[in-house]
Amino acid sequence: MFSALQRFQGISSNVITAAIWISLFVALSSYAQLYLNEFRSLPAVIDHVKAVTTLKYSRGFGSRNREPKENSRIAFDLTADISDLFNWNTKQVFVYLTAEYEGQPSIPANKVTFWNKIITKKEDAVLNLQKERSSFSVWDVEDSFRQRNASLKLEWNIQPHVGLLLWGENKGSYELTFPEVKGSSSAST
Amino acid sequence: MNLRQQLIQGLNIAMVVCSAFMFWKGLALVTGSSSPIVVVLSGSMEPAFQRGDILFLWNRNQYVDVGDIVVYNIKEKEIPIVHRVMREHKVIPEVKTKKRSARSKKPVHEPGKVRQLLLTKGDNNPTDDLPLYAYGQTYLDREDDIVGKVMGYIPKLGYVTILITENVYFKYALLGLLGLSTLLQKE
Amino acid sequence: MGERKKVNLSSVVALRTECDETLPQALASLKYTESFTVVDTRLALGLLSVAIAGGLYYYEKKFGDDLKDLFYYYLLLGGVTTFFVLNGLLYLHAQYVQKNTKYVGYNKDKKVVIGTSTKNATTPVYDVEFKVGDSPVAKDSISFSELFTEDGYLKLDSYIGFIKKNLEKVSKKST
Repeated sequence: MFSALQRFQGISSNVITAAIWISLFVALSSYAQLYLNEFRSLPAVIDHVKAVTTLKYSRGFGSRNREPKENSRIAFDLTADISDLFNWNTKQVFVYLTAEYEGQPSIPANKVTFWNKIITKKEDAVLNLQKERSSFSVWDVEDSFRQRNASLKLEWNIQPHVGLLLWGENKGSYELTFPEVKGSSSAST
Repeated sequence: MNLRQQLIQGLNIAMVVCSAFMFWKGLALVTGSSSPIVVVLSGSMEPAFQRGDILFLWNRNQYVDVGDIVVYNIKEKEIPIVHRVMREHKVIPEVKTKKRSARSKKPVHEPGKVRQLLLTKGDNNPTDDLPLYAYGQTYLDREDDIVGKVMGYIPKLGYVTILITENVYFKYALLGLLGLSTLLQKE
Repeated sequence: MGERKKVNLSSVVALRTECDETLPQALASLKYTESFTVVDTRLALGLLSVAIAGGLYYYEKKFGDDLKDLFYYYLLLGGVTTFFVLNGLLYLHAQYVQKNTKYVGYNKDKKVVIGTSTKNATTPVYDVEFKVGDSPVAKDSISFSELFTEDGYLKLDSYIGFIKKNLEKVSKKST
């Protein structure tokens, strides 16, 4: 029993050491590969964005005390190939469409997510979407968007099997203006 | 001499425990996060995170970005939540002249300072975290509520801690094993 | 120190530990009084660092764990740094001051320092270093088989004899 315990200790410490080295190697090598593939910035095209602004009155859409709150939804086309982001250490890539616009204290002060998608396989990494609808109804911290201009970008988060999480975004952006409330005055949905 | 020997033995054990504690606190100081390493407890971020995964946090950035995965606490609630930032709004709140009661636990905010408000959502949840926030709370505050941003990831290693806290049999089995190994090591 | 312990004859570490632990008794019989300065320094450093860690733990339990509280932040920073500095000192003390020393004692103002070691876990030889006053360090070795009975008990007389012989040899070399 005495020597069996020692052998178990010896083996387990060797296994743990090996596991640590392998993990480090995997994490560092996959980061190097992605770095060489410029994971931080890839081309993508956002096009034909149609936005609709409506008024909502319920808490689930950001309204407080039943006051009208402007909500925005969009439809868009997206062409992107992010297969370069997939290597042996990529567990998933989380892609999301963001809109950045100015606000009260600084420019830019606001950023919202209109749409997102989880991609787990390289085969699914070529995106060719037409008239894709936003995943959420989006509202601002203020009650109105005030028809501000927004920059739409495609961004992504690479989730590894082991190692650092990495982020990137596409080059360029699509300029969108938040439209007036649909139908104006007291139209509620 | 017997007293000294006992002190030495007691000191050795105490030193191991204290060193672990000090290392943890040192890590908290370096990262700026009160809990720099967390174990994933729920499946709300699948398929990215599973229960038992280990996350490494960093909290020294002034602002977090949309798309970042953060760990946050709801005021007064114990359990930290790991979700993704969906929206951010930087605002300068109006100065409220309302007096706060002495018992209010709300943190004091510097007037005129930019606050970053955040809305979060778990990847595996159908809706955002609004129902999780405190009553009347519509956004998280980066400074007050965020424990840290997830920078690094190790799969599954933390499952042992989940077993210890949730499975009573495992806890006693592990304690028994530890006791057995210290007894057998005595030379 | 009452009855002798039975020692596992196949474990070099156990044999050496038993001899080390008998040193005070052996040297007391040779009319030396033990000095605890080295051990006490280590105890002081160790207890101080444990006290700091305990203090920080107590403060956290009582006043919470808010790193944005500047007082707590600097308290924690100071405490953690001091803890690791003290541990660094302990390490350096072990490497450069204590080394192999297992006994420090005095006899009529003559200071004696005895250090012990074994080459590895498979060689059953007790290597001892003797220093009396400011003499050069004298080394001697003795096989454990000469110090222990077949049953695994330390032969106190042989042990004391070994030490006495070496101390007398070294004493002649000191001023």
